[in-house]
Amino acid sequence: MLFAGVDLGSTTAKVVIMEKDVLASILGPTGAEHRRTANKVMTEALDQVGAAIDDIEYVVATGYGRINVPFADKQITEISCHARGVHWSFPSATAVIDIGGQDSKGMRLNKGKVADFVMNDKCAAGTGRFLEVISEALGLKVEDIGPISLKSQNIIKISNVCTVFAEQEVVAKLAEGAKLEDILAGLHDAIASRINAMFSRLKMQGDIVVTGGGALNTGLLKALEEKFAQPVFTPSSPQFAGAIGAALLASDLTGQAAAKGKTLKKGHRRLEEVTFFT
Amino acid sequence: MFEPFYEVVFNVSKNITENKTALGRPVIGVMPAFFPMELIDAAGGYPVQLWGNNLSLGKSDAYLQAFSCSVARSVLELELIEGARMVEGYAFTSICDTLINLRELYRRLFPKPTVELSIPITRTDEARRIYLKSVIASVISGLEDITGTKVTSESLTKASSLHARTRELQRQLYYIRAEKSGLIKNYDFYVTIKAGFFLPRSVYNQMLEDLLEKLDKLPQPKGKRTKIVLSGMVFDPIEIYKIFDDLNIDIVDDDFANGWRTVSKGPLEVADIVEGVTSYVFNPAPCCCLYNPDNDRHPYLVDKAKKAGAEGVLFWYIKFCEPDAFDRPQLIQRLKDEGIPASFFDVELSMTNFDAIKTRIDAFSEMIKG
Repeated sequence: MLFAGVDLGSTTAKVVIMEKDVLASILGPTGAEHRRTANKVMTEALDQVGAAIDDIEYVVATGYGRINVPFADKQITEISCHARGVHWSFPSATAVIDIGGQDSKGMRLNKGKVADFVMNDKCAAGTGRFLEVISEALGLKVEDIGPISLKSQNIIKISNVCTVFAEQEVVAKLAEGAKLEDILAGLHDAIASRINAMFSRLKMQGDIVVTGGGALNTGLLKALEEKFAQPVFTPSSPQFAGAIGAALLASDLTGQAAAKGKTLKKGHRRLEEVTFFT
Repeated sequence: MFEPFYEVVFNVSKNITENKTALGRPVIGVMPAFFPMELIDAAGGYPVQLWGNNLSLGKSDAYLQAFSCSVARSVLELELIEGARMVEGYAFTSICDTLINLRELYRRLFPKPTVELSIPITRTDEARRIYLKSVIASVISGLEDITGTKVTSESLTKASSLHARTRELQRQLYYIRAEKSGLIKNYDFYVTIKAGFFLPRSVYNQMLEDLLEKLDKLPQPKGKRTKIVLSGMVFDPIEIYKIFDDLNIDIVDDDFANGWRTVSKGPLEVADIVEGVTSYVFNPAPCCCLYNPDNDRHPYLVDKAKKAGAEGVLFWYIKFCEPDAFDRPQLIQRLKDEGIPASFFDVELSMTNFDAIKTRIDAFSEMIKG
């Protein structure tokens, strides 16, 4: 049986189709038209597998746009989905840090289930948006700032955690002649400090796994390891952790229903093009 | 069943103005929290509770910082934009620094008279008694000046009975909600309680009696639902209850200052008004704004959650209530130590987008369901 997970995040939309393992995974920009985006990425994933939407046994949608996935059978929060996705790839994980486009979340796990969680959904600091703004200000690609920061021998402290003021501070430091890699290392240090402070409420112990687009930034991972004073792990495709978790939960729910001799109620499977713009 | 309460909550100014005309009594705005409104009724006034509103804040920024209590900021905004023309005076309680300063702002900015119930912090009975005696005398005298009516023992007794009946009826509503979980939608429940902020007691009591009679005949709906308890100062923005309703989460009890902390209060004893007001303010539910080491919030909240059969406790934090924020981390930890899942979300009264709050509530629900 095929199961699908759709993670409609603030910045990117991810779809995975799974059987026992991942058969297809598609990522694209979310944009303003959530339904259209969801349909587009799902169509591409189905094409990759050579399946039709009705071949999917159950679809779980997650992410901040989860209610806008027209073909989803159920919506589950990204907190639960990331936890499930991480537990699948790292069974020993006891903590998850998800650094998404517009928020960051921390989860403490107990046997793969969420035991506690925190969210930063008020401020861009500690999120992918912060890194995007700073890289734009510096004329860099966001994927380049991690490797550049690793060259730093002298981290420059960035005192502002507010995205707007941090941008000004970075520009001022450059004007003073500071090295780019030292500034970037300072930025990663500032974000890691903020995440560490927020997540300290969870009293996280054991293996920490970082997911989301932020996990692709090697400079940020290094800073997190320093702040948490332990190694942090990332899945091979950290941006897909939520979508994989959603697909796994789709499978779990189907299995649980079958064990009770029941079948799950499915939503309307619509993949037609929809648009708000005329 | 709940339409009459909706009509009040969504037409507040119109209702207050009409009731004021019908009663022929001056409207006294009652600031948070625990001001014994019996004193206002006894003085011939019409008490209306002001627990904040959803106005966009603009003018109040000139007087209160953005990091201060959004309830105080929003009620000040209402007066500054002349949205409270029907209110002829204000009654304050000195429960926090912001409200103490708010009264001073009102005295300087507006011609409307104010009274303040200054709550003694001292634990010495005699000193507390001497202090409160002068405070209550000043409050009653101030109210009499606004209304032009003297407070008598007869009017106090009558007002005490009227308000005690309100809280008794509200408690019955709380009990039905807990016993027949799922019967009353969370949104309907808090609209019903909120309507009481604005209605004359006699009118509200009759509406509650009619409602309770109808609810009494209805059975508890079937189906498994998640049960939780909420804690906080103010139960607004009320739109958030639609999220709980959509997610099949039943709030089976609460610890709101304008919810159970007030509703649980017994009759105001008027034979000895000083002792009566003391007992009224400090009992029975503890509050982050009241210094009362004899009534610890930690075991109180654990006990409340267990008795309600709640699967978790959510803290509803109104930005930026300092007393509430200071208590929260220890309370959450204590609940977790007792094996009761606990979390919080923060809100502003003027907010209109609840997506992030929905995710938090949904995730909390998923977490406690496993």
